[in-house]
Amino acid sequence: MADFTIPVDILHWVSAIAPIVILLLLLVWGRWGAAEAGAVTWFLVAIVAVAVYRTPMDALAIETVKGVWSAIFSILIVVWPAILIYEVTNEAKAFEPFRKGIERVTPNRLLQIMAFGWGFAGFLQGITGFGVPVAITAPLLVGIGVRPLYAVIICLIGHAWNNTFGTLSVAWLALREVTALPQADAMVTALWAGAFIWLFNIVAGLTICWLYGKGKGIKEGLPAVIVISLMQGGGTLILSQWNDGVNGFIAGLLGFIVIFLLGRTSWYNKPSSIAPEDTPVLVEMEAAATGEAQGKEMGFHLAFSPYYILLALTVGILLIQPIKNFLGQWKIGIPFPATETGYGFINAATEMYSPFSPLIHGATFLFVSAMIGYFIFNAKGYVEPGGFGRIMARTVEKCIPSTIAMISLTALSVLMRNTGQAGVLAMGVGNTTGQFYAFMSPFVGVLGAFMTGSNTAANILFSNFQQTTAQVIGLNEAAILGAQTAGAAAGNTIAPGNVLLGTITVGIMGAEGDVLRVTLKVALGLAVVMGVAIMLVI
Amino acid sequence: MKAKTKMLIWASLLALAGMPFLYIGGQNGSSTLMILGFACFGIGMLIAPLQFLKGKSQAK
Repeated sequence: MADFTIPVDILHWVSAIAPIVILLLLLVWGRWGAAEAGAVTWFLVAIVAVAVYRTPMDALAIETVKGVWSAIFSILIVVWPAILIYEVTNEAKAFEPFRKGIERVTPNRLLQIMAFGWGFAGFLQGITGFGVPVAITAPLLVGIGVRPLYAVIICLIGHAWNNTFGTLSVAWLALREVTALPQADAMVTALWAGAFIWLFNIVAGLTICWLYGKGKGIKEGLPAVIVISLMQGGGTLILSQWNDGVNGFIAGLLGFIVIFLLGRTSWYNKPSSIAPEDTPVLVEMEAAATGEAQGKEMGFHLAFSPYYILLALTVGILLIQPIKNFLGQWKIGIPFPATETGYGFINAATEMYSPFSPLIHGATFLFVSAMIGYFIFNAKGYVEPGGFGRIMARTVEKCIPSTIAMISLTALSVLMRNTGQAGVLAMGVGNTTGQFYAFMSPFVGVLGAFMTGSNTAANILFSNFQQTTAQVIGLNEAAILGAQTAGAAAGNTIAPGNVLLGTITVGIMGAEGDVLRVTLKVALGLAVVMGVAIMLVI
Repeated sequence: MKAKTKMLIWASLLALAGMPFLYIGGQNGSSTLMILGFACFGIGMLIAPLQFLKGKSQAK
């Protein structure tokens, strides 16, 4: 951001932050849904872009199209098949045998919730990303009796720790790329990032326990939190010094496997001491009788078959590099011309903007898994006549209304980024805080992820700025960059697009503010702790 | 299908319909196409909040 041409003054800073504040106010306090709040905020961002940031109409038009493209081919493309796989499983009434199967692993409901919302979500983030962990595990949690609102909160908090080194470390590699860190500096930065991520990981586990049963929940869940976070967070820290590519995958896998072992220990081989009616997280299971009433008992592995297929496709294709490279050749994208604002803020022309690779994308794996799952359930007689029509009708009914919400949120974030508003926000913080910037650095990461919905995009957007600011002020560069990427991971839990992804897939669209009320505290609390830690250490 | 859902479907389609106009208009600097595109996109986007506010006032 050395050649940043926009004046970083009060007018520009306040006009850039105002739409974000209004968005949060509408969502959290006004109880507006994302579709309504996002649309209003897009208008505000567009007005600011034109009136304050001197964005010409052609640039506004092009950046709007980019936003809509990203909404469809980055997010909605995952939402639609994720809802489909849920509806297929639901139509076959596979959630009840699935729940019973999990009870055989552990009768402890708290550990069951940690297994899906933290272990499985973190594992999925290790290989896929793109919102798939939330879109998959939130409905699974609902299927085992978790209240939809809590299912979304738990998945958002439970998967985000693995954002930096998950998805084959794409966010971490992006940070390294834009900062051009030498190998030795990269190792130290990875250590800082790993330490912060471990902290995040512990907080995630404790938050799940707290939500489940306050102090009693923490007391009961503490042994599991310690063991799981040793595998996930500790694993990430150690592996960060060894291998960029599979760090998040291995840490996620270890964390998931250890839960099965925990289920056999004396702590968790018995039901939770907190009765289901005493926790706000669980809901009465209406479906409990349906499977048995039909007289057809589906086995656990059959119930889980769509997800086995999903795992096989994902691991088999994404982790085998030659296959991934071969299938990744096919890409869909459209070219965009360069845009420039009146301040000379330039977005370079691109031949293929945010390309969609259909053969290696999580959306395709989800869709194929859903369809194969349907054929398996149908062949085994678990889908009643007319089932396919009902699945499609419910999927369409859930998918379509979410489109406008996702479009508005993504379009406004692209517009903020590409008209320089995001840069002004970060630079304003950097210019005014001096040595205190060390404390603020994780908040910049949070802000980046909040606006882009992606750890990778946040790192691309702000890592270079964070590095330059650290160098100019004389702060520990590695610590600041570690806080950037860990802050961005935490910011994923409050990114409106990610929250919406969760609420759509569990059928509570409009409750985004209720989710944010919890995840905001976690993300900002983490940023405070990280900021204090940096201030104390450097 | 609920009336609100149907309305949101139309809103989404309208917003998406504005994209070709914005893309071509933005590339060629055609004000007419851009205005048309922004009109479609803007109206599509406004439907959700207007519907929400209308529902709120009716509830009162």
